Order: sequence, then C-alpha cells, then structure tokens
Amino acid sequence: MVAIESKLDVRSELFVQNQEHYENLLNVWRERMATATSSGRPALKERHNARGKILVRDRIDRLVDAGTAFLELSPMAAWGQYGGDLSSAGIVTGIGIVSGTPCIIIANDATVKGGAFFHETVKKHIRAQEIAEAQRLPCLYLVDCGGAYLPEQDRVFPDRDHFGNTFYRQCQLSAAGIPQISVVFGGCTAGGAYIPALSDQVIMVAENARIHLGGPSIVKVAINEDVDGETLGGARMHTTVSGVSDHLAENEIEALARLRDIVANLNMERLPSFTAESAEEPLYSSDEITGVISHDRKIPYDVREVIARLIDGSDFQQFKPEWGESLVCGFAKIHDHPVGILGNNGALFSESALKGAQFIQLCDQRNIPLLFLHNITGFMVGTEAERGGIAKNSAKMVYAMSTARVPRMSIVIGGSYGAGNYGMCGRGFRPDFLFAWPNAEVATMSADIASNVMLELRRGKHDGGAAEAKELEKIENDVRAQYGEQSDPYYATSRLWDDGIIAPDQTRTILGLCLSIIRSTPDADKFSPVYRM
Amino acid sequence: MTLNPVINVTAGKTQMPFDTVLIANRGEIALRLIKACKSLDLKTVAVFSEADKNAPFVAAADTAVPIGPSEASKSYLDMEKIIAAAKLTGAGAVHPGYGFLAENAEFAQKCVESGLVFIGPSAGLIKKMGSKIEAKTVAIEAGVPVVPGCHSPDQSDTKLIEAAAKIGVPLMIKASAGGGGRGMRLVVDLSEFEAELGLARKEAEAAFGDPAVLLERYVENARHIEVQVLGDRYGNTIHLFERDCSIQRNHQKIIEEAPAPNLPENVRSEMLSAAIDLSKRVGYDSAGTVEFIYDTNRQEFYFLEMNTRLQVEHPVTEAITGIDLVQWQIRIAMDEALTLKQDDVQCSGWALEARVAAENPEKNYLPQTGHISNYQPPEIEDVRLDSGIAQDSLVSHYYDSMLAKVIAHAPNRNSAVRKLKHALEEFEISGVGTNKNFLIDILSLHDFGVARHHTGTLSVNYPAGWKATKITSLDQAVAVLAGYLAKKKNVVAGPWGRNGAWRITQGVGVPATSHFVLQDALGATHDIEILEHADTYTVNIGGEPVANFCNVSMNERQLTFEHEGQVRSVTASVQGDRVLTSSNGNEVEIQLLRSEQVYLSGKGSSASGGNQVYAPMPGLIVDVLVAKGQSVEMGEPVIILEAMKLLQKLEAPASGVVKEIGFNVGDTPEKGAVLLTIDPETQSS
Repeated sequence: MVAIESKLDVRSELFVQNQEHYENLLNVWRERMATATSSGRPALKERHNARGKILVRDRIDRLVDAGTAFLELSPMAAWGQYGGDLSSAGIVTGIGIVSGTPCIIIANDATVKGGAFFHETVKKHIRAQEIAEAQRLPCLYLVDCGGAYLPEQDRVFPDRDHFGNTFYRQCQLSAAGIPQISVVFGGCTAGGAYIPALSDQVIMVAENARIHLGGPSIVKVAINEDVDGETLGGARMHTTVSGVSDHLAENEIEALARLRDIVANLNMERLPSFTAESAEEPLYSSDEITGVISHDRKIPYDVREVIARLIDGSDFQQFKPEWGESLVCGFAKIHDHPVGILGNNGALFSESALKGAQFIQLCDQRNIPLLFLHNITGFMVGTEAERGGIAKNSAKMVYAMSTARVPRMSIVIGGSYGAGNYGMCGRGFRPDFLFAWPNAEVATMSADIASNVMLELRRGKHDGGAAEAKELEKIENDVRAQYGEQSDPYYATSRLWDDGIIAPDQTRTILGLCLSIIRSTPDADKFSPVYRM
Repeated sequence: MTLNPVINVTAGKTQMPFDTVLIANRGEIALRLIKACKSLDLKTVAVFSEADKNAPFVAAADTAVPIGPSEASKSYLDMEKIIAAAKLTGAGAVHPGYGFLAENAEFAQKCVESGLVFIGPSAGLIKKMGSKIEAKTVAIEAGVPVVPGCHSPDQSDTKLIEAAAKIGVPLMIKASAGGGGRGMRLVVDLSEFEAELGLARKEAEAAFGDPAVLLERYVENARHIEVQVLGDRYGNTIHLFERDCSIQRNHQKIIEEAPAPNLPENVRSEMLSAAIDLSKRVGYDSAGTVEFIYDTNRQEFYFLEMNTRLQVEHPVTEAITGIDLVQWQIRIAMDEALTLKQDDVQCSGWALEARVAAENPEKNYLPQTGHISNYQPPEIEDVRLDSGIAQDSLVSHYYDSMLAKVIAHAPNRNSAVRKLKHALEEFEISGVGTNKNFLIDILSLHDFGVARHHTGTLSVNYPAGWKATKITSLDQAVAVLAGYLAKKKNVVAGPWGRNGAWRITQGVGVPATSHFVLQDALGATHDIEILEHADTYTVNIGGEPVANFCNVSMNERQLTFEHEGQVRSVTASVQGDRVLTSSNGNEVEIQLLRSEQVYLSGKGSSASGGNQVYAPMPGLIVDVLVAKGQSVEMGEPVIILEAMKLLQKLEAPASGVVKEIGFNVGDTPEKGAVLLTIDPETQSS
C-alpha cells in the first residue's frame, strides 16, 4: 500500500481559521460533556455517599480491569431535555473489560432522578442490550433504580421499544447464551425488580439493596400488612431465604469484587482478533484534523486528509481513484484491523454510487468491516443525473450497504443529509456503531434548502391564494429555526440518534476499540435460558 | 638384575590414584568443589536429596546420585548412602566440603576403610582437633596461648564451680563438642553460674549428644581472627595469612575479610607462627584453620579451636594469595608434596566476603523459604560469586539458609568495602527474603569502616535488632507504579489494553481511576488509586495523594520516572502480583492485588480467629510446652518449631485455655497448619 501524502499546510491562514472555529465547537463539547457526566446535583451526590454508596462512574472504574479502556456510549443522552436535569439520561452504558472479558455495562445513576427510567433511559438501555446481542457481550447490570418515571409513563411503558422490551431482551439474551448478571445497590421496586429477577446471577449489597414487587406502602394498601423494607425485600432475606439473590455483599466494593469474580468464570471467549497487537500510528497527527474541517461548509476539503489521520501508517489503498471521485473508497487498517473506508468528497453521482456499491461488495466478499465517513449533501439532482439513472444507481449502493454481511460503522464527520445519509449507512440502517463529531448535522436537508423548498411549496399552493411577504418571511424563519435546532448534533445525540458525540482526536482510538469488538464476535450457538429458581 | 622399584615416598602407604571425586555436600560449596575438580581434570559425582533434585550443583556434576529424602539426616548425613554412591559410580575419593560430614572422624575412617580417599586430614586428626578439650591441650603443648579457662575431663559441679571462680567473670560455658553457637551460655555474675551450667549441659546434650562443657574467660570487644594453614603428608606446613571474621550475628560469621585490619604487625606474625607451630605439632596434612580470639584491649590473642576442613570463608584467602585452596586439598590428598614455600605466598590487596542468606534479619534471622523468581548476579570485575542457587531454585527449610557468598577483591580495604557494597546492591534475588540490605548496612557502619569492629559490634550498633530503612509511602507509590505498568501490559492485549485506562471523558478533566489493593510486607492492605492523565500518573494510597510521576518509562528490569523535578531510576521486577523495587540497596516489596483477591478471601471458608497458632513455615515440632486444657497467657511460648536449623518459639496469640493441639512432637506441619487452638472464653482465673 501507499501512504497518503498530505497536502495540508499547517501554517496557512485557512488551517488556522479552521482550527479556531473548531476549538470553539470543542469548548462547547467539553463543557457539555463535563456537565453531562457529573451525575446529579452535589447535594444528591453527598447523600448518596453518606449511605455508603459509590457514584456510578466510580463503580465502573472499580469494576473494570485497572488500566483498561471503558467506552461510554451516548453520555449526552437527554441533553437539553427535562430542564437539563437528566444527566446522561440517568444511566451509564458502555463496553468495558472485566476480568479480561469485554462486557456491556448498564449502570443506573441514582443521583439523577433516583435512577428512574425516562424515554431516553429506556432507549439507551435497549441500545446497550442491542450491542450486547450483536457482539455477544455479557451484560452487567449495576442496578440502582426505582423503575419507570411515572409522569412520563406513556413515553416509557407501553410501546414495543419501551420498558417491557428491556426485560424481553434480557430473556432473549440469556437464551442466546449471553450472561445477564446483576448487582443490586439500592431499592428495586416493581419493574426495577425484574432486572435482577431476570438475571442469571444476582449479588445484593447489605443494608442498601432491596427487591420487592410492591414496596411497604403498596403492601399496606393492598393487603393491609405492616412491614418494613428490610424484612420485605432486604439483601439478607433474599440471599438466605427467598433465593432471589445468590450472593450477599457487605458493601459495594465487595459486591463489585464478587461481580469481577463471577465474570472471570463466564467462559465467554472471543475470536483471537480481539487482541490484535501493535499498530502503526498515522504519519500525521490527529490534532490536525480540526484544521482540515472547513469552518464554512461551502468550502470543500479533501476527505483523504481526514483518513490520513485515522489509519495505521496513513497507508491507504484507493479503489478506482480516478472514477466516481466524489466518493473516496479504499482499504486501510485501524489498530491493525482491516477496514474498507468510504468518505465523501462532494455529492454522490451515479458513478460514485456504483463505485461505492462495488466497493461494499468487495469488502463483503473479503470479510472486511466497512467504515462510512459522512460528509454528504445528498445524491446529485437534475435532469442529467436523473437521465443517468441516479435513482436506480443510488439504490444499488443502498442495497449493497444494507445487505452487506460485514460489520459497519459510521462517523458523521460533517453534514449527513437526505438520501446521502441512507447511502452512507445512517442510523436507520443499523450500523454496529455510529458516532458524530461536534460539527455534525443530520437532517433531510440543510436549513437553507429546507426554507427554500418550503417557500416554493407555499408559492405553488393552489388553494391558499397569493402568499403575502409577511407569511413567507414567517415560513422561512420557522423552517430555519426548526432545521437549525433539529440538525444540531446535541439535539441528535440527546435523542440517541447516535452512540455519542466524540472529538476528532478520539476517533482513531474509539474505532480501534469498536473494531476489536466487532471483529472478535464469535458465531452464536444454541444455548438455553437460565430461570431464576 | 633387579631394579629398585620407584615408588612414591609417602607417609608410609601407597595410595590408589583416583580420577573421580564424590562431592558429599550441596549448594554453593558443591559447585565450588566441582569447579576445582574440573580444573584438575577430575570427574565429579554429586549426591543429592529429594529437595535438591533440581539444584544447580546436580546439573554441574558429571554424574549425580539421589541419596534419599530431603531431611539431611536421611541423606547428606547418611554415611552408608554416600559411600554406596561412591562405590556405585566408581569414585575414588570423597570431598566433604564444610558442615555435614566434613569434621566427622567416623566418616573419614569409613571412607578409608571402603578404599576411598577422604579429601581432608586423617580421621585421627579430625578426632583430636574436634575435641575442644584435647585441641586445647595440644595448643598448650605447642606453646600457643589459650584463653584462661577450664578444659577438664572432670565434669563434676565442684570442679567447674571452683574453676569458674578462678577464671572470673565474664565467662563463657561452651559445649565441649559444639560449634555454631549452640550450647553456649554467658555468665556475667558467678551467682548465676550453676543455673547456666545446667542449661548449657542440657543444650549440649540435645545438640551434640554429649553434655560435657568447658569454661573460658569471655573476652569483651573480642575479635575473631583465624589463620589458614596448608600442610602435606611430607611434613611441609605453610600459612596463607589470616582472616578477620569478627562480624557475627548469633555467633555466626556473616562478613569476613583478609588480611585482618588494624592488627599490630608483631601480633600478626606471632599469630601466624603460632598457627604453624600448632599445625606442625599435630602433623596437619590438609587445609585447615586455626582460630584465635583477639583481645583488642590487651592486644593478646588466644587459641580458640582448629577447624579441620575447608572454611566457608576460604575465598577471601584465595583472593589475596591467588592460591586455590581446594585444588591443593585435592593434590595433597593425591599424595602430592606441597611445592609452595612460605615465601611464595604473598598477600596482595584486600578481600571481603559477605554471606547472603535466606533469612529475615528483622525477625531474629527467621529463615525464609520460597522459589527464586528473579536472579541477577552482580557482574563486576574482581567480584567473585559462589552461589548455590539460580533462577527458579527452591529454597527449602531443610538446610542452612546461606544462598551465596559475594567476594570482592581490591587494592585496599576501602575500595574492597565499596566494591562489596556495590556488588550486593546489584545482586538481585526475588522470591525469597534475604539479609542483603542488612549486609549492606553493616558494611556502612562507622565501626566497620575504621576497622574498630569486634564480635559485639552488631549488638552495639543495633541494640534493638536491625531494622530495615523505613519504607516511605513514596517508595510504595513507586512500586505501585511499576506494578501497574507491568500489569497493564498483561491485562488484555489490543486497543482495550494498549490505550491504558482510556475514557471518553478524560479530555474534559475526568480521568479514569484504576483501583488496586496494596498488601505490604507485613500483610496490611491499603486501597490504591491510580489516575492517568496525559503523561502523568497520580498514585493515591489509602485515599491520600502520594505522588505524581511523569516521563515514565519501564522495561524488563528498570523503571525510570520524573518526580518533583528529579529523574530517578529503580530496578523493578514484577512477578504476578508481587512487585519488588530497589534503588541503592533499598528494597520495597508489595503485592498489588485486585479487589476480588482481597475482599473475597476468607469469605465462605472456615472462620479463622486470633486464637490459633499457625506454623509460620514448614518445620519439625521439637516441643509442645502446654497441654490440652491448660491455661495460657497471651505471649507465653506454647510450641517450639525447628525450621532450617533454628528453634522458634511460637507464642500464644491470646490468653485462654488450650482447646486443641493438632500436632505432636516429631510431626512436620506444613506452613500455615493450625498447630494449636486457644479457647479465650473459658479462661480460668
């Protein structure tokens, strides 16, 4: 292969201007990330600690193997919603190494609305289970929640992808041979009780942990029985009497130690590619990526400058470099994992789409995972394009991408609009992982085009009479406001349209972590579920 | 015409020449003997016990014969087995080394009777000089000064009490057949004499099977100086100068040097002459050592005893004279005449030896056992290492705790001391505790540096026993860092391990915290937090920030880091959870454990309270001092355990009534076995 020769001039005015612009975006990202990952209000955290409880991310630090990575997913879920009070949607999910085994960790944050389930909490929980299923990762539930958030019950409880689905998935995962282990740190009432109850193995922490289908107040109302929480569903009772729990831990540290010990015996082996060794660093620093990305979307840049800063040794074997040039395709390695990269250098034409389809098929044949770098305004429009069959040609790329059997990952490194988002493997096409950069925009079209389209539609309306200037102005303002708000990457990540907003210089590391997971997933076999006795 | 046959003119016998030597010993001295045999083109046969089957000396010999179980009494001390091994392999000679059968006249005799050459003096000489009383008589006859004392065959109380009064105090009661510090009692007040005499007799009887004792004036501030002699079967006798062996712990030598420093020339030459006179008088015909006690106050020396064998500390003499003592021992045993004349023996430079032993000098030299997990001998010019161990060697409780001898040779004493310290600092032994730091500390003592040391120097300088330099939390943090870096590499390969404790939030000031539990040498545990940010590692111990390290790099043996503006390097070895760091001889050992190793241990297994006596190491129960149902006070000795030739008093951990005794006298419990249980509840008043 041949290394990409960067033409980037780091002393150019444009480079400096681009970096300054991006630094502002990163400052916003850093501030929001820090806020979102700081759990609940200080007073709530103090109360938490006073009960001998450890904060959720500290629990994870103690759970995972020292000196190994933890890939947190969607840390800014629910950002800007519910009055800004729902940090990380009250749940921390991610992939971490426990006793040498990569696991999905799903951990409630009791300092955020008591760890109750909101719409995004459920969505995040399910997304983590989805990854566990696809990648055959054991699920470790650090349970510290009171069940569904009742005022939002219509958005949390009834639908097919609501709370009930998390339990359905737990059963299915267990049946598929993917261990489900719970540690109960706090009170688990009603729905919350089913997370441990449906787990293969359960650990409860003395004093703090409770499991009951109905708490003391419900019991009083329902059957007029006076009972305290500890007697009704305490850790000791469940471990020594009911058998709901398998292990009693004196404190949280011991509970986490016990969980590590259990995971050590799960016998979850991955394919050897999980431990791909020593990778060559790119020839160019990832710090320069922010100087590549144009501060103005209208100024194009060469996506190969980005690719050169993500791949091993900047070594890139281009596919059809001189045909369909608006879609850059090529083979590379990231952290020693082979990967087929598709990146946009402008709108997709028929040729680019056909090239993309062929490249995807090559990767599929060769068992090479796909990486889509989105910076796409869409597929080409116009008479020439239509006469050239852009509709069927773009569809070929969508077909190939949709049915490829190899793992797929997407990074939204710029705009991702309309059918371009489809062709480049947007969220609807279920890529194994999808992350966005702080400059990402995902929408049917940009705010500019959307307002013009809406104005055209209004003008062409037959029954509304001639549009007045004032009305047109309002339409334009409304559409711009709507698209502006909704194509903001934080709006997207808040709603779990991605697995998180990441900084450009983190991208290579994250891709390495993801690749070593998706390339080491063993074939599913036949397993049977574990029933709690 | 008949020709007169040309025969060796010998001391009256013609001896079969031999080409194979059986080495009736183990460890470093076995290797040393094999080396000398090889230099004389002799084949060697090693004999080994079960515990030594993988020892380096077994591999070094041309042939090796197993001679039974690990206990020395059933292997290295079993004369029949050793002679049978010699017969089996066709060995013509036996070299006994030191210890074991080296000064056993019966063995020397049996060898000769079996047609084997015993490399050493004749059985008669061994017997004569082996008896302290007889040896002293010979010394007096030869005009060699002896310590005022009583060496009487009359062992009656009356006789000994009378003699004690004449000698005056302080005086020493010694086992007549003794050695190695056993059966020795110091009397500082005559009124205590009778009681001490009883104890000394008892100890002598137990240790040597003979209750006979001798009395001697106890010389305060005494130095132990000995003269190496070499004699042949033709009446030639030379000396190879003297050695100073005054640095002793529990009456055992640990640092020796040649020549003796700070010794008036007239005393030195008188001492050398006295040694020659004595050797000549008995017709000494091998390598031997005449030991003297030197009274620094009176500038007088007295004959102590003669060792009819090769000494542990012989290498210092070899270093200053350039003469191979073992070679000459063998050549003399081959009936060769000593071609060296006294004038050929020159003293060149200074040599010092330190005995590295598997023992804990902080705990009354408690023997240590284990597997040598890391072994790096010093590689320094003019440093000799006589070692019996190697990487992965097993150090068991069956034999003497000495592992190796480090010998430094330099033009003068100061350089030799520096060189020996340097060599000890570079000598890495992990897997078993050693006295290395203790030795380095002794070499740094002022008294030793100015050669004003004597046999009491260690008790003067360490009145409460030697203590290792206090390990600071910074030292521990350095060890934690070394352990963390080594472990990190092994947790998981690939990006999940390679990127360290990576977090998506680390760019926003929320780095990951890696958790461990540190277990120190005393078994205490501390929570460890390690925070990695950019190229800096912060180590917290027990929740307290201890140190920030940057510019960190580590290879197989060394950790380099910057701390508070200083770049430092320490040697670091990490085996599993065990981390050993050392810089300038200051060693830190910790266990860096995962939470489950600490918090889950003991859970689900039988309860263990503070009311049980465990075997601290495998050994032999020689005495049980209490009976079931008896009341004991906390701290009262309850069981005597013998391990590695030392008796250990095990004390009651609590006051109460003895509930159960798990073993009897003669049993050999494993390490950790519950020997005795006390019921604290039923303590009788």
